[in-house]
Amino acid sequence: MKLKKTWLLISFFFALLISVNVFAKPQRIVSLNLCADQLLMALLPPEQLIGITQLASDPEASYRYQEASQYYQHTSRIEEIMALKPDLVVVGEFTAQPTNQLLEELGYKVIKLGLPVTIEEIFQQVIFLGEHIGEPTQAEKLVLNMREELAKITALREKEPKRAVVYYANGFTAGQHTIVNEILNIAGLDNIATELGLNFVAPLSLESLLASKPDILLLGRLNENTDSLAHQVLRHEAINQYAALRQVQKIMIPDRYWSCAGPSSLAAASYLQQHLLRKTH
Amino acid sequence: MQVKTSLNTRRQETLLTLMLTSILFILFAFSLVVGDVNINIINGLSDIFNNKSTLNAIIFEEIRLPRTLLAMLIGASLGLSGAALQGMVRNPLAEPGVIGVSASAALGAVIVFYFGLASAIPMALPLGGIAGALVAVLFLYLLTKNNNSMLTLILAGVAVSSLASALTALALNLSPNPYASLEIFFWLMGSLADRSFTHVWLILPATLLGWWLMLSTRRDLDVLSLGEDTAQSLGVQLQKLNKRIILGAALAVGAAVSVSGGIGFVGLVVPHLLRRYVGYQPGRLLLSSALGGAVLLLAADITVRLLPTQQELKIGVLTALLGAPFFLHLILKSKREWAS
Amino acid sequence: MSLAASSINVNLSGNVILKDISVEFPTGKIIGLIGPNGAGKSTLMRVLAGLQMIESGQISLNHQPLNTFSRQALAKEITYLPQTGECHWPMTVERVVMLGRHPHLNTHRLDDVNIQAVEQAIKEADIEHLIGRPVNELSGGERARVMLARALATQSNILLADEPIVSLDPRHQIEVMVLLQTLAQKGKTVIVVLHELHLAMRYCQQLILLDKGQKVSEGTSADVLTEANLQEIYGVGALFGEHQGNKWVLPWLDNKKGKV
Repeated sequence: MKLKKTWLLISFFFALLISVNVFAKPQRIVSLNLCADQLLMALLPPEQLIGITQLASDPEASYRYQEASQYYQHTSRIEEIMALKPDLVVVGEFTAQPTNQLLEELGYKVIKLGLPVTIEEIFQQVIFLGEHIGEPTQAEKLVLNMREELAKITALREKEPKRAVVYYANGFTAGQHTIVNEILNIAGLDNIATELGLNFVAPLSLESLLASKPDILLLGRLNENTDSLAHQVLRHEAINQYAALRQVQKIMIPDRYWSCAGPSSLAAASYLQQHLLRKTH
Repeated sequence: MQVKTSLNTRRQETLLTLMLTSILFILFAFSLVVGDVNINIINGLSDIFNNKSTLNAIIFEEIRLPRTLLAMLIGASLGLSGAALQGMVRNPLAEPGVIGVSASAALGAVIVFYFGLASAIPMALPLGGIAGALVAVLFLYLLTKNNNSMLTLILAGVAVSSLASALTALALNLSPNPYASLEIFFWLMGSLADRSFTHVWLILPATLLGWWLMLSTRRDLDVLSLGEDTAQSLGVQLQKLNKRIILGAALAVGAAVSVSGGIGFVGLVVPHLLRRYVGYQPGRLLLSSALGGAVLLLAADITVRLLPTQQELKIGVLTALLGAPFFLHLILKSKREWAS
Repeated sequence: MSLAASSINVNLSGNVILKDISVEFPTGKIIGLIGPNGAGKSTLMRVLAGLQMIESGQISLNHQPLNTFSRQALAKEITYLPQTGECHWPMTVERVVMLGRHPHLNTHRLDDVNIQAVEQAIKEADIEHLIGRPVNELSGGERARVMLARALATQSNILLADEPIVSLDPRHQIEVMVLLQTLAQKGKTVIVVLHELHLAMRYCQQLILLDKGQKVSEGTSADVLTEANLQEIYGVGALFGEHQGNKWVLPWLDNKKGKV
């Protein structure tokens, strides 16, 4: 009996050794994309995630800006990436095409993250990423946490959904097939842009914005120390007057909540709900 | 006698002024009606008069009205300064866009805007534009003082425009705001979209002052046609004349560009079209050019609002499409026509 | 309205253009300013018109220094007609002439007074048939007469005309000189720069001869237009004569070198 157990143990360890060798997990991972940065920071320690972008520490753009200081931030230049000697490079949909091509030609292993537009797609992306970086359990844990949060948010939805519209810098709104649309729905709001039949990020004139009679206006965040024409439109007098007239609630949500689709999207939905509830109480 | 009747083609000029003013009124009304949303005009107007705040009233008062007013103010400034500059340097090619004044004004405005100065002091924005414009007009004046050949003027304009545009792009790139470098198109091509009454109040003082300064020179400008010596002997104080036009043009164009970005060719096309109806007298051209500029820009603005493009076309694109061929035509024609 | 220059010195880029020029211009006369090219005649005209910076000296108008007058006031007293009559925009003839009324116009409105002055000037310069034509389409001589009309329209007391007849045909040359004579007879001061020595002799009551920036001779035509002066200053010989009591002079040079 004891002999059988020993054989089992030895063969088990052999199998383990083999599996570890064959499926060697990446030790040096570099991210070239802000959204990838954030997902990877949730799954990996600095010893394994050896390079993230500089945007990751920008509080305007990155949800995890505080954690970013624990990681090494590169300047996205190709020579610097090479000097880091990564064994896996994660890029995004909009990473410059020449850069992607060059990395592949130079023989680096590159995986590309797409743009999820629904919460399920986000979960799938987390799992996908977890498998490729060799941390499937971490990934599953993250997804589980997110599902719990989603359930909490769903429970807090109002019975009669309010009508909301998003207004970005430069007079754009988010229509169907965008993560912002999904966030609004998760939070229990109706997106006016879908009513108007708009898809993706689409232009919306100031007049149409007001004429659509929103209950809630979601405005992109304004910077304190500088300005741009893009942001000026968000402060237009017409919006102020209309908001006062119809008692429309203006919520300004910092860009970092919805600049990437991921865990921050749930935080965005939560943020919206919190601000909503505050008003109705 | 013959002279009296011929000099009383003043009637022609009054007719021109009346016609332009009427067209302007019609366009004004039309502009208030044109927009994305169908508004009941009558309801809207009655709401405003009864001080009732409704969606119609808001759209009218806060979106369409300021935009229309800006188009008229800025169009008038561009037309007027074009005519005034042409009178000053005695060259039909002088124009805020061509000679680099608009580009310099844009540079001044960009520096003030994107580095946070305008949010601290709103007036800083038009002042920045004015400062930029002033530098360019002064340079133009010094350059053409003893030499007002067309070639010199065009080359100087190219040089100033290029330099100012490059510096503007640089400033936008260095700005702390991430949207800044994408907004170069606005500053190069101009737009009146989504402007509000704030912008109207912001530029109104400088604009009116600039107009006054330029219009005050209209009689002297006529006499300047005979050359600087003769003009002086007829009582014109050259220094005063030049200062008023330089300052006036800088004020009007600088303020305009600071809220609309660079819009070109209005000051070239309008005076050229109207010149024959005022007997080619540069002084008489001033008021007509102001009206004509307002008409032209308002018409252009209405057009970009009506064009079925996904994103609204930049108004400067339209004026450039019209103006650039015009500019070429002027150069070719001038080789044969007026000397100097 | 008397005009006087006293000890005028003008330097340009280090060169002495006028040296210690003192002249008194009596009213009611045509004074001719003559001399070779580069003598400084045009510069002196510009000084008299208040357009030229001087190193030292003074111009007085009615015994008051010129610089105490405002440009506006000066314009009513002194009219300057430069050599090259340029007009940068293709205005019609009558509009150009009307510009001469600028010192008197208060607004753009046209009073009868101004219109009358313009009409008269047009008649005097013999350009009635050119009314309505753009000035840049005219011949050199026609344009010169338009510019003259502009100067006449101001109706000031002093007229400074720099080579006003140089591009005119013989008939018009004489007619303009007769016109200037009439003006002088009315009590105006007319100062003319001339190269046409025969006309200077006939019509100018006083002549001032300049050479290399200095006044060389002054007086009646008999005093100034002597054979010696012509030879020395102009470097030409001359033929003299008389017709109906009027003396004439004709610059002359024989085909073989040497004096006449």
